[in-house]
Amino acid sequence: MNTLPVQIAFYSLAALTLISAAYVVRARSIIHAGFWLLPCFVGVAGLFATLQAHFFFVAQLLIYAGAILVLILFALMLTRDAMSLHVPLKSHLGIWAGLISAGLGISASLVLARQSWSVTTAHPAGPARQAEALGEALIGLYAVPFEVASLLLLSALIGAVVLAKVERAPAPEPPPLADTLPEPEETRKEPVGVE
Amino acid sequence: MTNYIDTYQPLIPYMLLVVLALTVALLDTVPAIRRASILGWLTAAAALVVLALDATAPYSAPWQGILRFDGYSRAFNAVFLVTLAVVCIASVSEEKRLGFCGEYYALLCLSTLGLMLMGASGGLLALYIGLELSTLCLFALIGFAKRERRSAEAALKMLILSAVTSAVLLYGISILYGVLGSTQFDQMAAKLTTISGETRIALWLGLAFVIGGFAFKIAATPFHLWAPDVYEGAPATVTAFLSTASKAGGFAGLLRFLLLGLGGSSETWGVLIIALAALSMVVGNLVALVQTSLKRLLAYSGIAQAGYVLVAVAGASGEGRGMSVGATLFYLFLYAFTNVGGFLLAQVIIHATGSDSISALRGLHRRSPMLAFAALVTLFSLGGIPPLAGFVGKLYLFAAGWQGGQQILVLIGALTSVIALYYYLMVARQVYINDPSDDRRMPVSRPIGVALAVCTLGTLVIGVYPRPWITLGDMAAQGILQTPASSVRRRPDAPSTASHAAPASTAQPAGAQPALPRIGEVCGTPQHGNAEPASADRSLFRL
Amino acid sequence: MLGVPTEYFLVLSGILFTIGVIGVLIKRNPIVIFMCIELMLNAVNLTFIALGRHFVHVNGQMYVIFVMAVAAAEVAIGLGIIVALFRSKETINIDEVNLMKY
Repeated sequence: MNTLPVQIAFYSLAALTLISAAYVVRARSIIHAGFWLLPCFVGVAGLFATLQAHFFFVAQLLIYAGAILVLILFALMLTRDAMSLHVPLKSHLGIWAGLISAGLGISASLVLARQSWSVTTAHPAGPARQAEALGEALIGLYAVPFEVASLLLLSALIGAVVLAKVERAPAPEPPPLADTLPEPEETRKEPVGVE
Repeated sequence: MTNYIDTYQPLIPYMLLVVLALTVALLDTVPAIRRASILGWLTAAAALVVLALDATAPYSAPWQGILRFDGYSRAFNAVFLVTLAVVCIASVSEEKRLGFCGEYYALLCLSTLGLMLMGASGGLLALYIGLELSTLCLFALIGFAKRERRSAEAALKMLILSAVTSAVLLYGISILYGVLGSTQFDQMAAKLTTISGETRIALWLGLAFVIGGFAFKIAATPFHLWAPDVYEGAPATVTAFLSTASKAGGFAGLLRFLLLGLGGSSETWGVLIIALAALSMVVGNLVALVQTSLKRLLAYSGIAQAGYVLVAVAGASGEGRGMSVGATLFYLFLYAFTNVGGFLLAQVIIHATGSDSISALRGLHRRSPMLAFAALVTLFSLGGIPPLAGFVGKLYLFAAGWQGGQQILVLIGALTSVIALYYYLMVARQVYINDPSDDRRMPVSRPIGVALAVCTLGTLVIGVYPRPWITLGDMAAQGILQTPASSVRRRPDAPSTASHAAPASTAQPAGAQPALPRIGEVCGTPQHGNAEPASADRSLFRL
Repeated sequence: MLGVPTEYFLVLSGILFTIGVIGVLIKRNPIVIFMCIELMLNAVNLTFIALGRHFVHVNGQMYVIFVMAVAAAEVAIGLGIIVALFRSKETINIDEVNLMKY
């Protein structure tokens, strides 16, 4: 198998990811930062492809580049002045913190790089076999975490609806002895779709 | 067939909690039920039923030990479920103010489920997903009083800081996975002994990140900045849950990880925990001295209390592990009563006077003697004054720390406890000595009154008669002490433990078998947790 | 062999993670901080996928599924909170939400 194309793909995707990630942090406007996320997510998806994780290539595109990015952009649109705002730096304290964390992160990656990783000889299986293994694991060994993940999404849904729902009139201040008094019928609307 | 039932029966309480969450959310749509305000009582009663079911379920470790139902998880579940029940009762009088009470109780139940999974996790994956479930529900609960800007701000703050920490935690997990080749606790512990040289540095790095993630959850010092603001902004009942059950969940996960995943030797993590403990005790107690808000005072005192518990955790090494686990659980159990009581009192005061400053407590004993007594019991228990639960608990914690060789930490703990006594006594002085500015009785609604009575009684009873609760701690200790030994013994062919696991002797370690059965060949075999050999893990899930 | 050794991916994800951390520390706007958190999570995912390939085992990839679910859930809740916050006071600038008060 010729490794050169894989290497070229790796380096170009790595450059794409890192440069756009740097622009997310550097961008003066929030909207620009949001848009720089897209090439970054796509770059990571491409890196998954070079790692032969085919399922995650698709999932990354669908979930990150599709859903999460769109939600973040929605949040942007909902806040005032998003288009004109430029994002100020926090303080010079923040810059020091940045430098420290950069030092930490770089030393971390150096440590990981210098670690002697034994060379793998095994090839990952093809896409079909991998998806099969993943599915088997999800409904077999990892069934409980998988179900819990669905509960997680459910609770996020409940939480988001509760938080985002409009309440027209603020309820009157409750009487001190709420349980001894006749309670006012509180009007509640049915939830009208998520967000 | 009995194997099968025994293995999965411990899951029933967990499933019941899910059913409870969904039922409560649905029942809330029935107007008659909503008007009757019975959902909180119902949830509390159901939580106690779940507790009873959990206490009678057999021990097992299904799915090759991804989950471990043992004495440890059972004892921690008692802490979580009792807290859930008390908080639900107290929330009944808040229903009208918050609205959406069905969703409120559903989220509380799901959060508790996440905590229970943390306590029952046999690997970092289950631990992580439990942590996220509990935290995610708490975001929504913190922002529940959304008419108050502070509540939404607190929720946003918690969300962002917690998302950052969970990303750091995950990076730590990924490093540990890279170094140790697995995130199942028994496999990690086995691999740990072979680590040497440069790999150790990477191991420490991953470890530091993971412990940082837990330190956020338990609000220990360098990671405590979120706690005061969030405690202050969230509805008081949610704060009560957050400061006790959620903290206990953090400790449950931390001890599992340290004692099972890292093989019970503190050589790798001791320094980190010692630093966290010392900083939390010093910073928490010193900053608490200058607080004027009752909720913030309790928040900083909670940080200091986390430090005290970490003293015992720091001593959890070698032979002292059992005592440390027991002391930690005992303290968290009594702390659940004491601290929930404290925040409920704050809630009553805020409701009655509209301010949560400590001076609002002036002359409470003239206004409401019962409330004043509850305040006294809570404060003295937090301060560790003899007849009350806090004293026994702190003594036990420090004894465990001392036995584990952490004499200096114990001394720091004793000194800072004296400082802490000062601010607890200052509050008690407001309650009993100072004259009230206003003579009216403090109105206490019945549900909060019941919950407060439970908390006060609990604190008193545990203090006067600690024996049965210490036994609960011993159960937790046994759960964690027995696991590594048994799993080491069984690992080559059946790490899924469950004393009655089917003999799976035909399996061989994956490495010894070049021609591994790939998925196509083993696809037809049913994979039912403990009947399955461990090597299937290696072969079946190969990529 | 697949052409690119595992450690290259680890270093790459380490740098990506660091960029995310720097962003979290120097930015003030919660939404931008959120974007930086997504960068950190992407770095974590890359590490897990690379290590999963290295060990030829599915449990590395398993984390990625859960991380993606959690990330989506967190963003949904975050959106709900931001909507709630801006409904309570529409004129407020999001930079004024004080995240680090002592």
